[in-house]
Amino acid sequence: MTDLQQKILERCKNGERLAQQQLYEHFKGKMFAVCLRYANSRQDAEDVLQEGFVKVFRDLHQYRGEGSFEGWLRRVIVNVALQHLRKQKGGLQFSELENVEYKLSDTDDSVFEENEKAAALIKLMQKMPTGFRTVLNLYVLEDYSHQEIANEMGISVGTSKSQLNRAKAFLKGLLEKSLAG
Amino acid sequence: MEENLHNDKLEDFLRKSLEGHSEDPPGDLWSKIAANLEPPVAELPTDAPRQLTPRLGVLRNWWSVAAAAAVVMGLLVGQHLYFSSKINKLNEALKENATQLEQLEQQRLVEEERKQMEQTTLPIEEAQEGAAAQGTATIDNTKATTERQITQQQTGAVANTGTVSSKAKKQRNKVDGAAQHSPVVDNKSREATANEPVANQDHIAKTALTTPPEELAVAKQADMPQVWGRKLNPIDFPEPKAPLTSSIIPAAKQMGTRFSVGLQAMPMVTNTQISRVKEDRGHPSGPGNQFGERKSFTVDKEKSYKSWMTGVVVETNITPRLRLVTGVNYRTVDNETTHTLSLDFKDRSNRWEPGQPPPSQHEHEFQYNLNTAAGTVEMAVRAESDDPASAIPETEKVEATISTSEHLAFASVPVYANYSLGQGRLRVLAKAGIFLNFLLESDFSIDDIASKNDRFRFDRQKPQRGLPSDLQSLSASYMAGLGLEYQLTKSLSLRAEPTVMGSLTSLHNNRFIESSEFSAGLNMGVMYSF
Repeated sequence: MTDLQQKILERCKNGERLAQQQLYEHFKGKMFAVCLRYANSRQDAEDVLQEGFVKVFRDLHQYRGEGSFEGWLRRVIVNVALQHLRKQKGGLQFSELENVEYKLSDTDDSVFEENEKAAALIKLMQKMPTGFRTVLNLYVLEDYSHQEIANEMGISVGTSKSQLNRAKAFLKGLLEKSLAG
Repeated sequence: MEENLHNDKLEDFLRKSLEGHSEDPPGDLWSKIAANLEPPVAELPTDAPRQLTPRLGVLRNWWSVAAAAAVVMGLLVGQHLYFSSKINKLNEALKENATQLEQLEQQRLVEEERKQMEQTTLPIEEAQEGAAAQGTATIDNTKATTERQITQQQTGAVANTGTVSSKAKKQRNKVDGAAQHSPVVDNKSREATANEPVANQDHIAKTALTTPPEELAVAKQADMPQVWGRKLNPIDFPEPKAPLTSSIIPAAKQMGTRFSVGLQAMPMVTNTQISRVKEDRGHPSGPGNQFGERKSFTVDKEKSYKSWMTGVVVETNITPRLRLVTGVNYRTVDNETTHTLSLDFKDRSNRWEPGQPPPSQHEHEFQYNLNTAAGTVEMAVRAESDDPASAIPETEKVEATISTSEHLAFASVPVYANYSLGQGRLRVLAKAGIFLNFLLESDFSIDDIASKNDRFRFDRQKPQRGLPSDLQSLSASYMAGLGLEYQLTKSLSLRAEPTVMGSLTSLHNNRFIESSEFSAGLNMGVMYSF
């Protein structure tokens, strides 16, 4: 972390609004992308990002310079995203692959016409069942272990593993259908 | 992209595609975030936050110092007026007494001289009677001449009382000195004095009969001082060995008001005790946001260090040994305290207003009180388990340890008596009195928070919110000490006094808390006497 970043963080800890905005502007794009991966919709992602940054500024004193700040920030945002999912109607639901009724007609066939592969991929992921998407995000993109996922989501390690396999199979199907389309 | 669809490569595909991906949120999102942030420290309302900076402003400091200075000046002026008046009256009375004593002494000496002269006329009268029997006319002339001379001398003695008095004093002193140095001589002279009237009478009578009147008169006059000298015996004139005036007036001078000023410094060890006056009420359901009614941390360990008192003292003597002391001191107390909390979740105090729906069991924050020497502060605790399915049971333990540093500063005005024992350069000093302590500043910081239960997290920002005016602006302490004073010069002295101090009143202005402190230290000072 550079001295400038350190100074901005210190000013943020003191509640300086300008420094907080600087911090937000610097990380908003990456963190919004994270939110989009976990959320069911763009609106939900905006809510998560808003709530996440409020929490970040409130708990900023807990960051003691150990490890990268971006990693700490990302973890806070992910935690908020998980809490947000829990609060939604029905909470986190884990599905059997066979029970998922995914209709190809629901898929926007034009997703890969967009040049932005990542954005298209995120749109596909948002169509995944919440449980699948969450485990996939945590394991593949956040590098959580199955034990950590189990602790975080209140499930068993076995459930975490099976959900991951089913999530990957589901996403594979989505991608194949999309490309075929 | 198709090759990435292979199952074992899907994870790599996702990582490469999504890591580092950025997408801008709506532009108005920051305004929504900012609206939910706590105001900056500088913008916090004055009645809500507990400031880490001194809680008393410059104005309040100024008033405290001014009040302390006024107390000191009042004490000094009052003391000066009171004792000056007494000393002046005493001096006037002593002067009057001295004058009266001088007059009485002069009268007594004149009277005594007159008696002596009367005694010296007796042998002359006897000789006159003898001469009458022989029918000589010479005696009459001699007697008449002698009596005239004596009368003239007596008149002169009365007129020149001072001269006679000084002579008498010199003679008394000679006799006194002889009596002191030679008891044998003294006895002989007393015997001679006792036999003197008879021998003297015979001698004078014979001389008067055989000596012409003119020679007799001259011889008699020459003998007079010897006769007076023998009569001025200390046995016959019991007086104080030292004149009364000379013994009292220096003492009166010693009674004059003497001032001393000095600088002193005292490193101390201070122990602060904080205890609750009223038992807490549990808050399983009530609003519980009334200050002082919620559960508190207990002080587990408190360590004091760097406590100092420095200042200027002024003292004046009431008696040669007893002195009254006052002054102004700057006193600081620094504590490092470890607080522990071990309560059930049901003892929490929720932050919600009466009339509003209570927070759900799984989503809320609550408070405990942290009582420190620098005041009482709120500790906000947030439950991490927001899952309704796993609500925290009421019996769950909330355990934490918090380390704080507290700083207090006072302007202390001492008023005490100092009594010196012994003579010479080294004396023992005993002192006792009170201190009036004006609070100048209070400050605290939270050094460490360790929650023993992961489901509860203690907020490090909100503890800054404290109770308003929870420390007394003015408190009183007792003080006592016993030490040594070494007189370097006539005016300069050094002191070293082991001293103890303890609070007479609570430091806290909180009806639920009582606090007291006890300090022990070595007071060292240098004093200059005027």
